Amino acid sequence: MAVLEEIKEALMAGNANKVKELTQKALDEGIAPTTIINDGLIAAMNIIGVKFKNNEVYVPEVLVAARAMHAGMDVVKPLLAGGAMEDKGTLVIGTVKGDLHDIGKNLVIMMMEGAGFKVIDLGIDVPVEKFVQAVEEHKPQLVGISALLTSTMMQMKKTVEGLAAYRDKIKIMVGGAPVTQKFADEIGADGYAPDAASAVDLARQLLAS
Amino acid sequence: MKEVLVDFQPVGRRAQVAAGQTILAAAQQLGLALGAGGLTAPCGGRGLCGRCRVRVAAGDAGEPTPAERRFLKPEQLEQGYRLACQAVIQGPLKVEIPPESMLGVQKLQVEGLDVAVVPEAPVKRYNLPLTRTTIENPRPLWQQVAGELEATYGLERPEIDFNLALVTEPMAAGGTGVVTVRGKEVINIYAGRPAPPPLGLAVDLGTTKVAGFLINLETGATLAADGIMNPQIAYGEDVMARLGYALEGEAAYRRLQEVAIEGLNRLAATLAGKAGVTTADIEEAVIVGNTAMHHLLLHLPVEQLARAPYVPALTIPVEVKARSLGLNFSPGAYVYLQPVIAGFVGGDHVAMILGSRLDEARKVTLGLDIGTNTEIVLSYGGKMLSCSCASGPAFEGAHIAQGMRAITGAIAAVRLSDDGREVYWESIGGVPPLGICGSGILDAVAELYRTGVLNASGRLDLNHPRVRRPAEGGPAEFLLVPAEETGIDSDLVVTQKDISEIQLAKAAIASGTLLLLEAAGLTVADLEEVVVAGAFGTHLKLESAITIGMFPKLPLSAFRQVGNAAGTGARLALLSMAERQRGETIARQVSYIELMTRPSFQEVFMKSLLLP
Repeated sequence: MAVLEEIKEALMAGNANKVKELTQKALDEGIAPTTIINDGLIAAMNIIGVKFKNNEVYVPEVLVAARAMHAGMDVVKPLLAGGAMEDKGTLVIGTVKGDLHDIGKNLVIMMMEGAGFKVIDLGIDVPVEKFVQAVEEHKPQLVGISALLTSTMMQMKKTVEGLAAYRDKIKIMVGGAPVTQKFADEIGADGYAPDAASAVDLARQLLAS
Repeated sequence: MKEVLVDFQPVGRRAQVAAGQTILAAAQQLGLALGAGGLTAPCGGRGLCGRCRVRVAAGDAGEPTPAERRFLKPEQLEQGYRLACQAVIQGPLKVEIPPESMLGVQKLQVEGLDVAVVPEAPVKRYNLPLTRTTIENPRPLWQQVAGELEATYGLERPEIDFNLALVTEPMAAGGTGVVTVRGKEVINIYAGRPAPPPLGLAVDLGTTKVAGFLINLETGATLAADGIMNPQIAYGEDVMARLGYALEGEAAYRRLQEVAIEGLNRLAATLAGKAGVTTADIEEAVIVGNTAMHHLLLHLPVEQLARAPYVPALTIPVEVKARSLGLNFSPGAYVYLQPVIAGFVGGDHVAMILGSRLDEARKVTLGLDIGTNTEIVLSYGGKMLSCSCASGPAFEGAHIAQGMRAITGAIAAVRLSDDGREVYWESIGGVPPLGICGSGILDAVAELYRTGVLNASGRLDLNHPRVRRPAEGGPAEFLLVPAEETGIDSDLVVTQKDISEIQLAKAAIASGTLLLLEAAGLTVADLEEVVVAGAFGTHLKLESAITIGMFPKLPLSAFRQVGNAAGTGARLALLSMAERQRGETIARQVSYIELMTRPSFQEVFMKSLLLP
């Protein structure tokens, strides 16, 4: 299955067109879609994730790689039967009201999907009610809240407060440029991750506890 | 709280300050966060940037915080290095501010292209014969002024600025009086003393820099030009940090407004001193600034600007008495603020378009004003589209491991041999380098890519002889200048993280350009001219910006580097009412495009991260 190695290489180099091409080639060779995803696309994304955590690569490279991963996913996803992907848990995630930034949040989504979580993306500028509604509807184990601006950080506190009634069922993770562990503790979040790769570790930890 | 003696070196400031506050807070209180030699705090003292590094040479500053442990190596902590925003004064201290943490003497750009304009200022001078006020001629000064203006100049029912009346001797002494009239209102008078030419002040109020021009309103001549750092910088380097500070409370917001006004008064005094006049002779002022600077100066509500939907409180032009803001100009002088367009496209953008004449461009022209926020305008067929992109402070030297502003000691240009083994660099002032500024880091990244040391996704080649991974971990780095040739005690390097910062900045600018073109139904191939404004835009090497894909790939002859076009626009609006109105028309004509709501933003941005 040399083609899977080629997919990994192209993905890590951020070459979206090549990943797309090779994924199609792998399908043509009769490799199962789940194998392509787990041993090709996600395996490569995990390597990027580790490098990211070790300061070997930075945000631009991760984004470029993630874009390549999506190019491959778009080819195989339609072929997946429902439930074919393993389900490690569900995460509802969004950027708080007043904040339109989503690149960091999208990185977390990619990493979490890469690690086998089901992710419900509420997008940007998400009011508290929308978080609550999504928790009611999707019954997630995890809720992720993102804020990029110092001016929207306080909205995070309101969001955590708004979810008070569900705290026995969900764990809340927070992150974003101005957020710190201290701030996370102050607003009563269950956990804080400084970057997308650590968010996956944090999610596993929170679910285990 | 007890007071203790803190001694700041090398500035030589010793003062009693309250214990229990941070070193940064004490420095700010002593005015050591403002101006050359002061302490820099780009993140606003939140422990996020690690730039306010100081050395505690003697005394107790408490235990290092987690933020300090993140930014300082154990041996540095041992040597007494601390972050000023974290270390809390426990007792008497001796604090050294190392050169890299200091605000230097800035190479501020104040020139700009000169556009011919017929002076037609909003203020006009009239000479009036005055008769000594006596019992036989019982007409006080203002009665004579009003009468003469009506009788001789046909000005109906002139008004007198009330505050001017309060400070003027009411008895006419005879001779000729010179009055300054704005519309129907007398705003200044020179009676019994010689009148200097009518003076105006044009200001480009930037987030980082403030450029000022003292202008003769009759001739249009620039009498003096100078620049200062925006003193608000001590409360946050970028617009968002500063708006965040303003939202901390009314006292904080007032403080921001006060320091801005103090800065403007200081700049005006410097300019007046250079021209041999006094600020009390300034009779009209125009201030252009981005929307946040505009709002913070006027003390307008900013919550809706700091958070989505990021809208200004006011987009119409504002005209107020200078004194109502605390500006020490002529008693009746007005300040005019050019209208803003959107939350992140302000009066400085209007002034840039006005100053570079982009509103009447015959070719399909792209105009860029590069800063922490980069505003881009696309002028085509009489229409204008603008956007703002968050290019970040990397080109101002922030977020770059050894980044600094474009001041003495900064590496401003870099070239590599074709194999990347030899490095040629130039520093500002020709001194041993202390760090690297925007144009230097841009050159470095472009050259690393050109010579193959960087691949398209921006990764350093770990096999290159000048690339290494530090033993203590951290990002890979390219050795730019070895320690023995620098003015600091370590090597100067470009790290993998620095490169990623430049990639993010260039991607923001390139995707802004592409999305504007897309919104206009055009492509890069349709572009005929590119106008690059601003200080960094003037000093950067175009080839480097094209090499990394920050600017569209057009022949160099299609580019015009126009300097401080916003400053030029401000001068035009000061000198001529027609130009002022033209600026107001521009503000209405420009359509603002919010990039983040465009469906292709994410895809275009990610693609733009790649080099070139």
